[in-house]
Amino acid sequence: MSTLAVKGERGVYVRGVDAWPMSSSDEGRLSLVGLGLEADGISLAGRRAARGADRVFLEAYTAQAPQPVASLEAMVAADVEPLDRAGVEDGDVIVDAARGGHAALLVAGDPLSATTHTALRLQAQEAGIAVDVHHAGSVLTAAAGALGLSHYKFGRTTTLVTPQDSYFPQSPYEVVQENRERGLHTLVLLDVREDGSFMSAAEGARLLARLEDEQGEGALPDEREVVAIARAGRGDEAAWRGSLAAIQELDAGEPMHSLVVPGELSPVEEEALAAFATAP
Amino acid sequence: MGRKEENIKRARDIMDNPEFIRNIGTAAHIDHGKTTFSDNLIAGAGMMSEELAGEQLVMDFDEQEQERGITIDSAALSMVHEYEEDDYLINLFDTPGHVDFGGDVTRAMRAIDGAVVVVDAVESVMPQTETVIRQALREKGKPILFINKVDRLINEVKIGPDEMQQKFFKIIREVNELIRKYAPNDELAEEWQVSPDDGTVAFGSALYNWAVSIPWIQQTGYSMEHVYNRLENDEVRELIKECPLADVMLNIVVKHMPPPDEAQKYRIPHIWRGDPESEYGQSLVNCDEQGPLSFMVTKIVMDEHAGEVAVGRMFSGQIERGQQVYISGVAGEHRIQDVGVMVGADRVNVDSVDAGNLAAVVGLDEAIAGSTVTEEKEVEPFERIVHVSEPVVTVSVEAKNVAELPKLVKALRSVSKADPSIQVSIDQETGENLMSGMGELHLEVTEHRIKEEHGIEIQTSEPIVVYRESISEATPEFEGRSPNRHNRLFFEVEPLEPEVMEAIREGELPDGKIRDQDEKEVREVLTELGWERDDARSVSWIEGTNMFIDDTKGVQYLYETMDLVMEGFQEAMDGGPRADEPCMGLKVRLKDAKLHEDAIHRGPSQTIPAVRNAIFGAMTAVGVDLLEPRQKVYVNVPQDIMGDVTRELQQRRSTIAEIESEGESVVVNAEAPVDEMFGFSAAIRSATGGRALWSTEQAGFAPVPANLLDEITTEIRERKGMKPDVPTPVDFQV
Repeated sequence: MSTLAVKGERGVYVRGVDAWPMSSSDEGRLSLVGLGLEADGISLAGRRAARGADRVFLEAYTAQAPQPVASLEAMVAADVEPLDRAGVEDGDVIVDAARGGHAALLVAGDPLSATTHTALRLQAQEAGIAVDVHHAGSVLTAAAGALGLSHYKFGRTTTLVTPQDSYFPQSPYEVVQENRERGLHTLVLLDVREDGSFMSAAEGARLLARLEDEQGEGALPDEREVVAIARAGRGDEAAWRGSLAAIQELDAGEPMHSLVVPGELSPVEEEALAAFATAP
Repeated sequence: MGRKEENIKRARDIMDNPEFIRNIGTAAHIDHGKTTFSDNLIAGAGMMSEELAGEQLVMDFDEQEQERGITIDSAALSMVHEYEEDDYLINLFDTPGHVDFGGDVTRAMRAIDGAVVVVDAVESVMPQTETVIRQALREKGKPILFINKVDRLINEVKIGPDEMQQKFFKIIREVNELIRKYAPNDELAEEWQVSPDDGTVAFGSALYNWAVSIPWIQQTGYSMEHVYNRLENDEVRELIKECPLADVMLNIVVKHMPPPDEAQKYRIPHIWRGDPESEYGQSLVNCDEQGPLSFMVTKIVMDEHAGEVAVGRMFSGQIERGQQVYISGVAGEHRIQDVGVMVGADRVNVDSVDAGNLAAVVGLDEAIAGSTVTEEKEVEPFERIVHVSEPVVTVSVEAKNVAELPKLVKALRSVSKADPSIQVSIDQETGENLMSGMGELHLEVTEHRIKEEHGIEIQTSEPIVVYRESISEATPEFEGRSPNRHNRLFFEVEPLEPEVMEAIREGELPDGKIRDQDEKEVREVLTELGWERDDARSVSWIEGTNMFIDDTKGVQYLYETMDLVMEGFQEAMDGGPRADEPCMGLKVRLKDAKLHEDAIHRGPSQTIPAVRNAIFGAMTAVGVDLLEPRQKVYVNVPQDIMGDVTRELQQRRSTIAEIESEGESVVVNAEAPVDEMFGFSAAIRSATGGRALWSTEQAGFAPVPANLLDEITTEIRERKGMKPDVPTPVDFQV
């Protein structure tokens, strides 16, 4: 391991002393690298891992990458190969690239959170390949933070799926209902469709209203307070707080959006939400 | 007013009086003279000129049927007959004589209350005689017997009066045995026995247009001996005047066939699955013209001007122009444009048609043969639109002129509506239009129809056999994973019992999703066939002859994923692991499932492959059989050239079951794979100088012989552009 010293204004930073040693294997190495939510949201360690890789892949189907591919390529000083769902899920391309060398997979947000790449990690490990993980910001934590809601008070997260003929899951409604019964907040993620389009906050709110129509248990009446957050963790992040009916009319701008159905608010949460979210 | 017009007027006068209506059909083994019989009835009743009868086959109004000399489609028409000074309206539904077109026969039998079974006096009871008697009785249609071609016994076979009588008794005995065997209950088995004494058996010649029955003899004073002498002395002209076929037979029909209001009382609870005690059910049972509309379509015919015309039987209510109606299995309302009756190939418009009658209706563009038309939505139909038709042969169809492609697509859709046993599809890989049917002849006939009725010049590929995939032993449990590995579905597959497959084919079980209202019936049918109650209760889908059984209990999120699991099941049944040929006879059990918490991670692209992996993994673990369709072949040939026939058959992997002598000729009964029977028609003609008469019947599926299995599998996989290697369980472990 080469030692690289960087002289800064406040002293000298030496790699290999401050960083933990990477696990390694003769069979190869795979780095799972989170890109976080905003441009340059990658960790320094993650960037270093990606720069050292022979091949760098980008998982680009579960969320929008926080910066364009060209910008990522400049950042990691390598070609970045976007993979579709089948390419990532099959895993063979990535594991083969890691075998006997070093491959990195860049993932929007955190690599093991909203969409977990645990299966890939297991697959690599079974092949004797060493895996290192570089976490980064995820909507799972950023949404709570941005709205000033306590992460300790969230119940199960759920995702709204664009209804199709033979698939219109109703379980998101049950999740909201269960969480509310326990006084907990619900983070409601919104579908990224196969064609690459994103479900908007308004669309999500309309879907919640439709679920209420079909289930009729009263968990999501029109007047229920809902929070919409757009581009969480980015510089142009924005949040709105209003009735479910009002959010259905909201134009939240550029993707990606999420919804939060608040449970019981503590005084601090109440103050924060009043300050951080505007009326739609 | 011509006789035809007069008849139409008389017909209208009777139409609202069920007591004077009869709905009948004819049924026979191929070439036993059914079509000639029907035509001469019609001619005798004044519905066509007498000179034409016996020459022009009105019922075979498709030109191709005349060319081939067999009836292909069920047509229907009305005629008027006077009996004991009253006018009667006889609605005759013709039924196809070729078993390749089985669905049509069942449908026609459901529309009629009785059938005249025509049996050739020389050939006697033949395999398809048994089939049609069984079909009539299954629909609770009353049989009567006409022994045809009696002149042949005298002129060709040259037998004496005593011998002739023995021959008749033999035929009557055999027919009665069949009636006993297939009658829906013991009471009818006795009541419906046919006998010359009560006039439910008649003898004659459809071609020469005469018939006799004992009541006729008693009434007119002509004796059997008299008839025999007339024939021996070649005095047919006199005989036709003394014993005209139409009068003799229509008397029998009026006297022995039940009127619709009487027949519907005992037939409706048998042929209709709804509740006979309901308001709608009562209207059907009572053939009530004031009740709600119920019209069963038996056939779609093409009319030059009106387009598609739906012909069928009115079971209840009234159908009239301008009425808004629903068609079973089709969304939305339809408006009746025209209502008419059929007189041969002519459709005559009338204001309305009442319960108990035959009707020809324009404006039901979405109807197919078998549809039920009602005024109310979601009423139990007469026929489930069961898509278990099991096509065995496929061709690709191309328009000779590329510009006619849109027209071809429309024509293909139209022919499959008129004949639901024709399936049309588009090859996803090549974009070719594929047409599948019940046999080579069936497809040839349909091709001809596309050319003639739709005026499109087409070109078809060589026919290809459609194989089936199945297993012969139960599989171990197999875990199928979704591509993201977060969802695991555990399946076992077993061979489905042949009795259950038969029940599906016979329409005793519904197909597709088992709805709540079907559950009880499914449970009853299956427990009757020996299933455990738990299994019978857990059937959730029937796809072709394959069943899906949900053995799971309380698996989280499964309820909202189940439709996707069913989609995966259907896809797997459409094309199996060996060669992407349809699966048959599988009992597919979902044993357990572990699903991701969040709905987004178990959508279609995750669940469907997981199901497919589990089912195919399980199947390949025990080995997947390839089954080929087989045909029974009956060849009637003069004894001296029998060798030419057996030689031709032996080249076709056939087994010869039996060789029977019948006077100068022999009947060779054989069975052969459909694949080997392509081109048999031309080959047998040239081998025997056209002296062999032959017919075929479907004989189900049997495993491809072991020595050919690899070869045929490779051939199919190559044709479909698949990888050459047959997959193994490892290929389904994600």
